[in-house]
Amino acid sequence: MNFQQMIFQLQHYWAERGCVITQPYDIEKGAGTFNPATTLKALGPEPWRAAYVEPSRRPTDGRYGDNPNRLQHYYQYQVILKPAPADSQQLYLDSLAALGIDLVEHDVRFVEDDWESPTLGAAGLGWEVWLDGMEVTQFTYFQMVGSLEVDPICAELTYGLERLAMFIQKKDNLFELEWAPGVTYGDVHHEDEVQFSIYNFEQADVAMHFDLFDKFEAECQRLVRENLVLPAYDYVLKASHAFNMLDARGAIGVAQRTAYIGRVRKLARLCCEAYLKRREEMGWPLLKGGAAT
Amino acid sequence: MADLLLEIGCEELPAGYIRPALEQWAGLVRAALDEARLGCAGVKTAGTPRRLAVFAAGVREAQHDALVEVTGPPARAAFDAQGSPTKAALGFARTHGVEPSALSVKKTPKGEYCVVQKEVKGRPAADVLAEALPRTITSIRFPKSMHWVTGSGVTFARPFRTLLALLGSRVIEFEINGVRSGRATAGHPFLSPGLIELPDASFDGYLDLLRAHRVVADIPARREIIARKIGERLAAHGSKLTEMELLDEVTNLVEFPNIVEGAFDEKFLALPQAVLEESMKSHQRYFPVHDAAGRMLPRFITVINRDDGCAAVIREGNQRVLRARLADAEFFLHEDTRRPLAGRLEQLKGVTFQAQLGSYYDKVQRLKALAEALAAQAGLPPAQAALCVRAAELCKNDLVTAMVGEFPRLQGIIGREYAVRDGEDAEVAAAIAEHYAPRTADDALPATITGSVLSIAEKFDTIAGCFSVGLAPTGSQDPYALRRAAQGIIRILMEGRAAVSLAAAVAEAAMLQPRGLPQAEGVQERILAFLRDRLYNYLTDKGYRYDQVNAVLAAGFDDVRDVRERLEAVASLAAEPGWEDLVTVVQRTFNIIRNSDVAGDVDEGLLCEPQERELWAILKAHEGAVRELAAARKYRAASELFARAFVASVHEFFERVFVNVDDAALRRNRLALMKRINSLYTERIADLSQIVIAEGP
Repeated sequence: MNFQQMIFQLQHYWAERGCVITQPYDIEKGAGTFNPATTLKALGPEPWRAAYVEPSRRPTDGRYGDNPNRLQHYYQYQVILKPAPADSQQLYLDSLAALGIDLVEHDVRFVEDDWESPTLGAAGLGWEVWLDGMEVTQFTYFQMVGSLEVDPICAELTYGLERLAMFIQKKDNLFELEWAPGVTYGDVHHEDEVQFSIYNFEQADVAMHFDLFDKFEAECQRLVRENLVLPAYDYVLKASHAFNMLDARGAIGVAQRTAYIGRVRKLARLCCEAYLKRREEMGWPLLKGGAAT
Repeated sequence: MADLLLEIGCEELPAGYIRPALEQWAGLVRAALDEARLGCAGVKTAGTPRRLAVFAAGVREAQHDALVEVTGPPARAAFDAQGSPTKAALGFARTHGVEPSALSVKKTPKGEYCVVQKEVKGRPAADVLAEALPRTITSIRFPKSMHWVTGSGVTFARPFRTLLALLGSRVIEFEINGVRSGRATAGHPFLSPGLIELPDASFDGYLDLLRAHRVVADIPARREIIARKIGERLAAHGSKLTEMELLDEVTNLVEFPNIVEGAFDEKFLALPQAVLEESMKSHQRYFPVHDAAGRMLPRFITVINRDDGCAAVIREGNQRVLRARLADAEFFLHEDTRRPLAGRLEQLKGVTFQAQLGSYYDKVQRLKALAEALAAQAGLPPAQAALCVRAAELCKNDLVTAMVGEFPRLQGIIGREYAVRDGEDAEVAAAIAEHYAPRTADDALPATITGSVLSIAEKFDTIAGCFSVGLAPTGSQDPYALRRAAQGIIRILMEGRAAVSLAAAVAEAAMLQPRGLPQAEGVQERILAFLRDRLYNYLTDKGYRYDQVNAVLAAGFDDVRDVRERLEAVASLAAEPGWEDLVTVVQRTFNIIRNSDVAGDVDEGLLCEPQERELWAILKAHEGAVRELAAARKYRAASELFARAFVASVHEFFERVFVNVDDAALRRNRLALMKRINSLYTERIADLSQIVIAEGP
């Protein structure tokens, strides 16, 4: 099964299980959790089931395209089930079967992981899912988002698509993965890795990113005051990415990191609180059914 | 009598939670059975990542009828002056269905209360347990637990999906979080999917049935299977299983244990051993394989939750995972060693230690100066001091290596490995790894003198810097782990190989901090007070009495080993006859001067009473000798001499001489004499006025 077929399979599988197949969000982010379809929709009483591919950027993970296992830009497949059904685990396992993975032959393990995103103020309990020792998915029952406790609890499934593809295609080098017939992952993305690694580690303008961080933070705060929570949340993502860039440039020290992460977390909290308030004013529209059950 | 079998079927629990949860639950079930007057002959437990089970043998099937005492209103509210029951008492009697004449009065620690002995009919165990068992489940505490059902207050480590509760062959019925109890449990989720039903509450029957469905629920049995299988493999290579902590962990990661041995390319053995071990053990829970001589082999053993039949496929997958990890590490090693460790100093300028305290480059400059000063203080020869400075210069450089970026827990160790590769002095290399030690309260101390000096320099610098910018620990807040750093300093000075003055080290470290920090004012005093508190904790943790520790610290704590010696002398004297007499001398001389401002020394011409002249003569005769013994750190001998000289003479003095006379000159002179005797002991050995003498029976 090639890379794009995997995505088709997952889209189909989760659509059949009542998920809205949404699309990637168009701002740089470190993980699918940051997409408002997860962060914001996880809040409040409204039910929500969604699945989407999320291109994700972690500038520090770049390896100039030299390393067979590392990318600064990669794809997650994100599923959010709210409230988490009692058969969440089984639904996940069946999705692996749908990808042609024989669960009797392979060792599937749910390995403890207390997931936490300090920048989003999000935390949950769950597992890393291992297939024959390879971590392919993060499975989390959210307990907190935007520093706010959540109820109902949602299940978040985050598939590492490249890892899973390497497992399925038995490849040691992700650039050799078949993306489509006759086209490899490397054909599609190798040059991105080279150029962005140079940019992230060597060229990104540190002063500009420090400046951007401050400006994004101020804009986010201003927009929250203007009750424009969705645009405000965009600036949480932008501030978070500016921080990641500074991190890749080695411009932020171990001790200083905590302070910067705290600033993003504060913004996330502001937005999450404002979002809840707004949805409540709107009368929790999705509670009335129809959209996702 | 019947047996009781309970099982919570859950999604995968963290390995480390299983044993503690079973212990708690067994205790809770036992207590619930006792409280319900059902009792049991004994409890057993079993567990896997997907189930916790408690079995209780010999539970009564019904409660006996019993007399129960119920406490009502206070006696003075229940009976009037004539002793007749009040409205309150009549109501209480009615509630419990007894005649008012059955009420009596009972003395309790809270006062006298009206009580009634009430006959309670025994109920069937199934009814009582249906009420009592849910609480035993929801009372299990985990390090972290979660909600999963909307609006429910019930939390557990992970969601549970089945509850089994059998008393004999009957189901005890209850419901928690929407899960109804029953007689069903789950077998191995992949090798024997689906629910299976138990006919009755037999523990062996339960274990056997699960075994047939590919689950080894008995923890010791599972551990034994894994230990045996791994042991056999290791024996083939000439070594033995030594990773017991990892064994305990993997035992609780699987239900149907098997092992797979895999291999990796020999070229990866060129990686630092710590990197190989970290990759295998903490990332993958693999067991490294060594030969008879202790050399690492390019092999690993992993525990799987499947049949032997799947081994080939699973081996291939695991080998691919480890290969990827090691290839990554090899890439880092290659990148990192393209230039020497020493060449990374400039890069530290880009890594902030703390906004106001500058970068790690700045910190390293301070560490070099501080290490040199501390080496001089400790009286190390110049060649040794030069090693300390070199180690200081290199100790943070591994923070900007790719390897530490990937394996943050190996900071220091990677620096050591790279220093060795660069041909740095062996002691310098060792010190780079050791300067983080001790990382925990019981972690090993630096083994080299260079590592010891650098470790305390690093900790003094962090403490001095953080205190100067207002980051001193408060309550539970200690983001820079300064308490642990202080504890490390004390342990190294106390048990290790370097000796320095706390005050001098603090002064030096504070002086090296950047200028103009917001809380630099008075910082040395605050740090010394903080160190004194940590020293107090260290010594009381060692089992010394708090009052003896306080007494000794009051006489100074600049040299921590000297503190320990004085404390040992005081503690040993306190166990001997004569101790109270010695304490009395110090306390009486202290009490008399405590509220007076004693100025000036003793004027011999003003000594008029024979007892004070006698005391003065004794002081002059022994003062020098006591001082010399104390200076030679012979604190027992000094104390004994002090006691010999002053116990009787001071007692005699207070019997015969009145100190607080009206004549100001005489009074001052006598107080001065008291002060001199008091200080002779308290300033150099211990302020025994802080000793609390336990009152005799």
